[in-house]
Amino acid sequence: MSKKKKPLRMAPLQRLAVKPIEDPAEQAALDARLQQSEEGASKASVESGASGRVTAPLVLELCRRLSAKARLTVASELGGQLSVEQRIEVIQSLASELPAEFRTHLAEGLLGRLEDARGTESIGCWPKGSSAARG
Amino acid sequence: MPAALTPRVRTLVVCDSVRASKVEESVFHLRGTRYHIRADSFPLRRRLLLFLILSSPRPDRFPGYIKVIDDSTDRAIYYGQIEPPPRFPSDSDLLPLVLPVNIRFPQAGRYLVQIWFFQETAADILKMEQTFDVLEREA
Repeated sequence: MSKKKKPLRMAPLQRLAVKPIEDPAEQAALDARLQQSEEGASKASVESGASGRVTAPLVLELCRRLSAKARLTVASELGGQLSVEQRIEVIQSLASELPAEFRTHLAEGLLGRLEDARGTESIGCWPKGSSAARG
Repeated sequence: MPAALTPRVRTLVVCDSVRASKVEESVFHLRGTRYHIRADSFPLRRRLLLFLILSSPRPDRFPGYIKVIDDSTDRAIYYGQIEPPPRFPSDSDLLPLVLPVNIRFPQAGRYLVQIWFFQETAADILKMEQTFDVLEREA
Protein backbone atom coordinates (compact mmCIF):
# COMPACT_ATOMS: atom_id res chain seq x y z
CA MET A 1 0.00 0.00 0.00
CA SER A 2 1.45 3.37 -0.97
CA LYS A 3 1.91 6.10 1.63
CA LYS A 4 -0.28 9.16 1.24
CA LYS A 5 1.90 12.25 0.97
CA LYS A 6 0.95 15.79 1.82
CA PRO A 7 0.64 17.96 -1.30
CA LEU A 8 3.61 20.27 -1.77
CA ARG A 9 2.87 23.92 -1.13
CA MET A 10 4.01 26.36 -3.81
CA ALA A 11 4.97 29.90 -2.85
CA PRO A 12 3.87 32.80 -5.06
CA LEU A 13 6.04 33.44 -8.10
CA GLN A 14 9.01 35.71 -7.34
CA ARG A 15 10.33 37.85 -10.18
CA LEU A 16 13.82 38.86 -9.18
CA ALA A 17 16.59 40.79 -10.87
CA VAL A 18 19.98 39.49 -11.86
CA LYS A 19 22.67 42.12 -11.46
CA PRO A 20 25.49 41.41 -13.91
CA ILE A 21 28.90 41.29 -12.30
CA GLU A 22 30.97 42.96 -14.99
CA ASP A 23 33.92 44.12 -12.96
CA PRO A 24 36.73 41.68 -13.82
CA ALA A 25 38.12 42.10 -10.30
CA GLU A 26 34.81 41.04 -8.79
CA GLN A 27 34.60 38.09 -11.18
CA ALA A 28 38.13 37.06 -10.31
CA ALA A 29 37.28 37.34 -6.61
CA LEU A 30 34.36 34.95 -7.07
CA ASP A 31 36.55 32.48 -8.95
CA ALA A 32 39.38 32.82 -6.45
CA ARG A 33 36.98 32.23 -3.57
CA LEU A 34 35.84 29.02 -5.21
CA GLN A 35 39.36 27.91 -6.10
CA GLN A 36 40.61 28.57 -2.58
CA SER A 37 37.81 26.47 -1.17
CA GLU A 38 38.60 23.64 -3.57
CA GLU A 39 42.32 23.77 -2.79
CA GLY A 40 41.60 23.85 0.92
CA ALA A 41 39.33 20.87 0.55
CA SER A 42 41.89 18.83 -1.36
CA LYS A 43 44.34 19.27 1.49
CA ALA A 44 41.89 18.00 4.05
CA SER A 45 42.88 14.65 5.45
CA VAL A 46 40.34 11.96 6.17
CA GLU A 47 42.26 10.80 9.21
CA SER A 48 42.79 14.21 10.76
CA GLY A 49 39.25 15.30 10.05
CA ALA A 50 40.66 18.78 10.59
CA SER A 51 38.71 20.54 7.90
CA GLY A 52 35.00 20.89 7.33
CA ARG A 53 35.60 20.97 3.55
CA VAL A 54 34.20 18.10 1.58
CA THR A 55 35.87 16.51 -1.43
CA ALA A 56 34.83 13.54 -3.54
CA PRO A 57 37.68 11.30 -2.22
CA LEU A 58 36.76 12.27 1.34
CA VAL A 59 33.11 11.40 0.77
CA LEU A 60 34.09 8.08 -0.83
CA GLU A 61 36.36 7.21 2.07
CA LEU A 62 33.68 8.03 4.62
CA CYS A 63 31.08 6.08 2.65
CA ARG A 64 33.26 2.97 2.73
CA ARG A 65 32.98 3.06 6.50
CA LEU A 66 29.18 3.14 6.47
CA SER A 67 26.73 0.26 6.56
CA ALA A 68 25.10 -0.76 3.26
CA LYS A 69 21.84 0.84 4.42
CA ALA A 70 23.53 4.11 5.31
CA ARG A 71 25.37 4.13 1.97
CA LEU A 72 22.05 3.86 0.18
CA THR A 73 20.76 6.86 2.15
CA VAL A 74 23.84 8.90 1.20
CA ALA A 75 23.53 7.87 -2.45
CA SER A 76 19.86 8.92 -2.51
CA GLU A 77 20.65 12.27 -0.93
CA LEU A 78 23.54 12.97 -3.30
CA GLY A 79 21.55 11.75 -6.29
CA GLY A 80 18.87 14.26 -5.41
CA GLN A 81 21.38 17.05 -5.95
CA LEU A 82 22.14 16.01 -9.52
CA SER A 83 20.47 17.46 -12.58
CA VAL A 84 18.06 15.24 -14.50
CA GLU A 85 20.66 14.64 -17.21
CA GLN A 86 23.26 13.65 -14.62
CA ARG A 87 20.81 11.28 -12.91
CA ILE A 88 20.07 9.59 -16.22
CA GLU A 89 23.81 9.30 -16.88
CA VAL A 90 24.37 7.69 -13.46
CA ILE A 91 21.49 5.25 -13.93
CA GLN A 92 22.69 4.29 -17.41
CA SER A 93 26.22 3.78 -16.16
CA LEU A 94 25.10 1.67 -13.19
CA ALA A 95 22.60 -0.32 -15.25
CA SER A 96 25.24 -1.22 -17.83
CA GLU A 97 27.24 -2.96 -15.10
CA LEU A 98 24.35 -5.14 -13.97
CA PRO A 99 23.85 -8.73 -15.16
CA ALA A 100 21.03 -9.08 -17.70
CA GLU A 101 18.54 -10.65 -15.26
CA PHE A 102 18.98 -7.80 -12.78
CA ARG A 103 18.51 -5.25 -15.55
CA THR A 104 15.13 -6.82 -16.32
CA HIS A 105 14.29 -6.72 -12.61
CA LEU A 106 15.32 -3.04 -12.47
CA ALA A 107 13.28 -2.20 -15.58
CA GLU A 108 10.20 -3.82 -14.03
CA GLY A 109 10.72 -1.88 -10.80
CA LEU A 110 11.10 1.42 -12.66
CA LEU A 111 8.03 0.75 -14.80
CA GLY A 112 6.06 0.06 -11.61
CA ARG A 113 7.20 3.39 -10.18
CA LEU A 114 6.34 5.16 -13.40
CA GLU A 115 2.83 3.75 -13.28
CA ASP A 116 2.49 4.86 -9.66
CA ALA A 117 3.61 8.35 -10.56
CA ARG A 118 1.59 8.68 -13.77
CA GLY A 119 -1.08 11.32 -13.56
CA THR A 120 0.45 12.92 -10.49
CA GLU A 121 2.98 15.70 -10.37
CA SER A 122 5.57 13.90 -8.32
CA ILE A 123 8.74 15.66 -7.31
CA GLY A 124 9.63 13.28 -4.56
CA CYS A 125 12.96 11.69 -3.86
CA TRP A 126 15.42 10.46 -6.46
CA PRO A 127 14.94 8.86 -8.95
CA LYS A 128 11.19 9.50 -8.94
CA GLY A 129 11.81 13.25 -9.01
CA SER A 130 13.46 13.14 -12.41
CA SER A 131 10.11 13.82 -14.02
CA ALA A 132 9.84 17.14 -12.25
CA ALA A 133 12.53 19.01 -14.10
CA ARG A 134 11.57 18.22 -17.64
CA GLY A 135 10.10 21.68 -18.04
CA MET B 1 21.00 13.41 8.54
CA PRO B 2 21.63 17.18 8.56
CA ALA B 3 19.29 19.29 6.45
CA ALA B 4 20.67 20.83 3.26
CA LEU B 5 22.01 24.34 3.78
CA THR B 6 21.02 25.65 0.37
CA PRO B 7 17.90 25.05 -1.69
CA ARG B 8 17.65 22.30 -4.26
CA VAL B 9 16.97 23.44 -7.82
CA ARG B 10 14.15 21.17 -8.96
CA THR B 11 13.57 22.80 -12.32
CA LEU B 12 15.53 25.09 -14.62
CA VAL B 13 13.96 26.15 -17.89
CA VAL B 14 15.44 28.70 -20.27
CA CYS B 15 12.62 30.53 -22.03
CA ASP B 16 11.36 33.82 -23.49
CA SER B 17 8.49 34.59 -21.13
CA VAL B 18 6.71 33.31 -18.03
CA ARG B 19 3.21 34.14 -16.89
CA ALA B 20 1.32 32.90 -13.85
CA SER B 21 -2.04 31.38 -14.78
CA LYS B 22 -4.99 33.60 -14.04
CA VAL B 23 -7.31 30.69 -13.45
CA GLU B 24 -5.16 28.08 -11.73
CA GLU B 25 -3.11 28.74 -8.65
CA SER B 26 0.59 27.72 -8.82
CA VAL B 27 0.40 27.05 -12.55
CA PHE B 28 2.70 28.90 -14.95
CA HIS B 29 2.67 29.43 -18.70
CA LEU B 30 6.10 29.40 -20.32
CA ARG B 31 6.70 30.57 -23.88
CA GLY B 32 9.71 29.89 -26.05
CA THR B 33 11.26 27.26 -23.81
CA ARG B 34 14.54 26.43 -25.37
CA TYR B 35 17.85 24.60 -25.30
CA HIS B 36 19.26 26.73 -28.10
CA ILE B 37 19.15 30.01 -29.97
CA ARG B 38 20.20 30.80 -33.51
CA ALA B 39 22.06 33.88 -34.61
CA ASP B 40 23.29 35.44 -37.84
CA SER B 41 26.35 37.07 -36.38
CA PHE B 42 28.53 37.16 -33.29
CA PRO B 43 28.95 38.38 -30.66
CA LEU B 44 25.26 37.96 -29.87
CA ARG B 45 23.54 39.75 -27.03
CA ARG B 46 20.31 38.05 -26.01
CA ARG B 47 17.78 38.53 -23.24
CA LEU B 48 16.50 35.25 -21.80
CA LEU B 49 14.45 34.24 -18.81
CA LEU B 50 15.40 31.50 -16.41
CA PHE B 51 12.43 29.82 -14.75
CA LEU B 52 13.42 27.97 -11.60
CA ILE B 53 11.58 25.95 -9.01
CA LEU B 54 13.48 25.61 -5.76
CA SER B 55 12.73 23.44 -2.78
CA SER B 56 14.05 23.92 0.72
CA PRO B 57 13.47 22.16 4.02
CA ARG B 58 13.64 25.47 5.89
CA PRO B 59 12.46 29.04 5.42
CA ASP B 60 15.31 31.47 4.81
CA ARG B 61 16.87 33.76 2.23
CA PHE B 62 19.41 32.19 -0.08
CA PRO B 63 21.87 34.49 -1.89
CA GLY B 64 23.05 33.07 -5.16
CA TYR B 65 24.33 33.83 -8.60
CA ILE B 66 24.13 32.73 -12.22
CA LYS B 67 27.21 31.78 -14.15
CA VAL B 68 27.38 30.95 -17.87
CA ILE B 69 30.42 29.05 -19.05
CA ASP B 70 31.69 28.71 -22.62
CA ASP B 71 32.11 24.94 -22.80
CA SER B 72 34.83 25.15 -25.48
CA THR B 73 37.11 27.38 -23.40
CA ASP B 74 35.86 26.66 -19.87
CA ARG B 75 35.72 30.42 -19.33
CA ALA B 76 32.82 32.20 -17.71
CA ILE B 77 31.16 34.65 -20.09
CA TYR B 78 28.49 35.83 -17.66
CA TYR B 79 28.20 36.35 -13.93
CA GLY B 80 25.04 37.72 -12.38
CA GLN B 81 24.01 38.04 -8.77
CA ILE B 82 20.38 37.30 -7.92
CA GLU B 83 18.88 40.38 -6.30
CA PRO B 84 17.25 40.39 -3.87
CA PRO B 85 18.20 36.90 -2.68
CA PRO B 86 15.34 34.39 -3.10
CA ARG B 87 13.36 34.22 0.12
CA PHE B 88 11.68 30.98 1.10
CA PRO B 89 8.44 31.59 3.01
CA SER B 90 7.79 29.42 6.05
CA ASP B 91 4.56 27.99 4.67
CA SER B 92 5.91 26.73 1.34
CA ASP B 93 7.84 23.72 0.09
CA LEU B 94 8.49 25.04 -3.40
CA LEU B 95 9.51 28.46 -4.64
CA PRO B 96 9.07 29.45 -8.31
CA LEU B 97 11.45 32.14 -9.58
CA VAL B 98 11.81 34.14 -12.77
CA LEU B 99 15.28 35.54 -13.42
CA PRO B 100 15.95 37.75 -16.45
CA VAL B 101 19.45 37.59 -17.87
CA ASN B 102 21.03 39.53 -20.69
CA ILE B 103 23.98 37.56 -21.99
CA ARG B 104 26.61 38.39 -24.57
CA PHE B 105 27.58 35.17 -26.34
CA PRO B 106 30.98 35.69 -28.00
CA GLN B 107 30.68 32.83 -30.49
CA ALA B 108 28.57 29.89 -31.59
CA GLY B 109 28.90 26.79 -29.46
CA ARG B 110 27.79 25.04 -26.32
CA TYR B 111 27.37 26.93 -23.06
CA LEU B 112 26.60 25.81 -19.52
CA VAL B 113 24.05 27.72 -17.48
CA GLN B 114 24.84 27.26 -13.80
CA ILE B 115 22.97 28.18 -10.62
CA TRP B 116 25.21 28.73 -7.60
CA PHE B 117 24.43 29.53 -3.97
CA PHE B 118 26.68 31.22 -1.44
CA GLN B 119 27.35 29.44 1.82
CA GLU B 120 28.56 31.18 4.96
CA THR B 121 30.88 28.47 6.19
CA ALA B 122 31.80 26.59 3.05
CA ALA B 123 32.51 26.99 -0.64
CA ASP B 124 29.85 28.31 -2.99
CA ILE B 125 27.79 25.41 -4.18
CA LEU B 126 26.66 24.57 -7.70
CA LYS B 127 23.05 23.35 -7.55
CA MET B 128 22.09 23.11 -11.21
CA GLU B 129 23.82 23.05 -14.56
CA GLN B 130 22.19 22.89 -17.95
CA THR B 131 23.60 22.99 -21.44
CA PHE B 132 22.53 25.69 -23.87
CA ASP B 133 23.56 25.78 -27.52
CA VAL B 134 24.13 28.92 -29.53
CA LEU B 135 23.95 28.06 -33.21
CA GLU B 136 24.99 29.99 -36.26
CA ARG B 137 22.13 30.37 -38.70
CA GLU B 138 22.94 28.77 -42.02
CA ALA B 139 22.82 31.08 -45.02
